[in-house]
Amino acid sequence: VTGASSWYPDTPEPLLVNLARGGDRGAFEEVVRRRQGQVRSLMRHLSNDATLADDLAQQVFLQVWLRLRTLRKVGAFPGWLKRIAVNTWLQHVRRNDALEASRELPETTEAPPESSPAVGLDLDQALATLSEPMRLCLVLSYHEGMSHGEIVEATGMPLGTVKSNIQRGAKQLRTVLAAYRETESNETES
Amino acid sequence: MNEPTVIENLAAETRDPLLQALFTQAEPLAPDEEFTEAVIERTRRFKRRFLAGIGGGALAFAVIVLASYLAFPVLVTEWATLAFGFISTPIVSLGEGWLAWLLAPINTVGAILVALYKLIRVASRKAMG
Repeated sequence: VTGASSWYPDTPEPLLVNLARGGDRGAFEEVVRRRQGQVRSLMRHLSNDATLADDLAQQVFLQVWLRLRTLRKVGAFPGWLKRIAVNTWLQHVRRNDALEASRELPETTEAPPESSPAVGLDLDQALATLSEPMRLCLVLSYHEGMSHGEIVEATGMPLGTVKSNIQRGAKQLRTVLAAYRETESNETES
Repeated sequence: MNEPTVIENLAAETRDPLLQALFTQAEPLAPDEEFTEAVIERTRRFKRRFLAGIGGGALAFAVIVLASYLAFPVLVTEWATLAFGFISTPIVSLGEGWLAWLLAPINTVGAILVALYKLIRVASRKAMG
């Protein structure tokens, strides 16, 4: 329809998703425009690599376009999108065998790594010091606001593992950030 | 061991306020038109490759069938007859009556294969939400 794209920015998301489900590219484009910030931020928190994050975010939206017809309720789109994003990340991790390697990390890594002073206040860099499963659980909980049950559903990890990853991850992240602040304040004083 | 209460569950899910503030303060990425265009281009590229794959596959199949027919005309005709006979074989023998005629479209190996394909599709759709 000529000029249809002009009203996309004011269209509610469920209607856009419904139109995109029917093959409307303009509506899909608007969905990408609205949701890209969320997906790209999630991938950046998980990967700490802007180029890789954008590539993975593009893969997420390609999957969305391909599978949109299988989405039964348009209201379920936000959760569905999160699941596709998590699956895309997990596939990437599996491809690189990083998940397996990180599972072999020692159980308690409470002390900040030696490179922590250089970590900076940058949240993504601090997150990068955590193991893959810990980072994933923590980001889904704090960035996406997902409950433990939702994280279990999205990642396939047992509830106990999710809880422990979030608790230990939060503790470790606090330690890393505190160590950085200490170093920074010492440098300022001297 | 007793099941955790609702309050215990809520307490377990309570987030660290300092970390929550850090995540909240982290700058959300602004919409990037280049990113949107890259996604749209990727969907177009995928469609082109998919159509090329389908077209190439169909063409290759047609060439193989035609070449086989030209090389071994009798053999290909026999195989085609056999394959058609197999997919139209009745699963339950119902004789020649009206019931056999009525159920003919679904009482074949071909119908079972189609039903299986549909079932797998529905199951995979459910699994993907």
